[in-house]
Amino acid sequence: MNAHRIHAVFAATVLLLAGRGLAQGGGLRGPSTVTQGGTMEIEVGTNDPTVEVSTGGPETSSHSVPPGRKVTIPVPPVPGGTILFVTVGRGLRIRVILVEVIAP
Amino acid sequence: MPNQPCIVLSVAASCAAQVLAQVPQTLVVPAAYSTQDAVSSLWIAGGSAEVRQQTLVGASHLGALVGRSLTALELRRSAADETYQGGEAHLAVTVSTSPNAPLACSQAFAGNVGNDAVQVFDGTVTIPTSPPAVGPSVGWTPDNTVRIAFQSPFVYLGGTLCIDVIGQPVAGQAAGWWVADAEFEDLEGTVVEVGDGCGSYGGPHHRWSYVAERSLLPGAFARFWAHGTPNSLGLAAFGCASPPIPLTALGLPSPGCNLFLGSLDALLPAVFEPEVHPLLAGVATAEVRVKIPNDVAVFGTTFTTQWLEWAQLATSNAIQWTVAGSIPTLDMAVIEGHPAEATGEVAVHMAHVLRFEAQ
Repeated sequence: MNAHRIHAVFAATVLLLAGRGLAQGGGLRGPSTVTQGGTMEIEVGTNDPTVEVSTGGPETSSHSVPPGRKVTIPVPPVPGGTILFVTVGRGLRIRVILVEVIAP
Repeated sequence: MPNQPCIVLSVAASCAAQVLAQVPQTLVVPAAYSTQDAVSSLWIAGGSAEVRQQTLVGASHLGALVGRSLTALELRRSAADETYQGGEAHLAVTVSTSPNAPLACSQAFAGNVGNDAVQVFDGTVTIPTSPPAVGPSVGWTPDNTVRIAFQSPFVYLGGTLCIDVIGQPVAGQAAGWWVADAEFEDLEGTVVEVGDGCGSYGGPHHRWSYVAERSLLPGAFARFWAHGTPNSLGLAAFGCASPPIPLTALGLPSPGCNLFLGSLDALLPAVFEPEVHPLLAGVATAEVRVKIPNDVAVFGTTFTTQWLEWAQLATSNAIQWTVAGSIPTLDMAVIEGHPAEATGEVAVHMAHVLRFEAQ
């Protein structure tokens, strides 16, 4: 099991334990689940200019944050059950929320 | 006693003047949002996380406060059909005259603090539970407002005001999603993908480098970053776009990797630093920032950036970027980060709507 997979499993466990309808990381919030092929709305409370979405692996997408601080992001084409890492910032000021992709 | 009415009037006028002098004056910055909700929102330091938030307010906003003592600062909730759950935050607030105008601000917090710094508050503030307020008008009512009553006043003598807030949530009293009103100038540069990268990052097109369009503003710090092998060296190359040049043609053993630069105007090194958050332990990011001069000469300036990751000898996707064609006029800036870090994220196009109280 490679490092990325270990992180995804860990993230899934955290998400399961959290068991909330809305993922909130303080300064960043969005849905805790999204549907394959759909979109997700992420709200940014920090002053960061972009939001990043990844599966914890080597592929990441970046999205510019508009004036209203709500970003509509297409759900990446990943299998159901995949955990998405939505982040703003980096280092000590990074904010992270986890979003699970579910099959329609 | 013919002079008695005059004496009475004189005493009354004197009393009135004293009363007026003691009545606090308020000033909302930017003034356009004295009662109207601005377009954006920004969280509050210490509301739900440890945050250092430094706001620079240009002199153009503060003429009415010159020579007055600032005695309080307030933030108003952003309009939304939603109850904001309140809490408490511990704030340390320092006010000074910054050596930097907002468009010349530093990424380093210390660089924006003036010599006349006064810690005006150190204690706990209440973040009220705020019922839905859909706007466009939102009142400065206690339910809508976070108020910081200064323990020590700061006399404003002109120049750029630096409000430096270090906030920490109070254990068990962290607020929910509570964002304050903020103005945002809708300016951005543009980016265009020039060519794909190679190596093991970035998916099928190996797009593992990025440029923040909204950082491509005169006076801002343009942000360039890439993901790669933890602790390896990255080189961000800046130049003019060109058709692909195979790295093998340059003598590098990297089949399938191309260079998309026809000139090399700058080369900035950065280490791919592992993220410290436990959920992102496999992710490493290299980042460089370039201060864009606050000058009309940079309007529409275009370069192309491409990263080389040393461990793999892999090239990233190449991105052509162009600086926005106007200068932010907000005359405010926000530098935001973690209290333990020396630098923060700079925004010269957005800032809280603030209400000052002065005497």
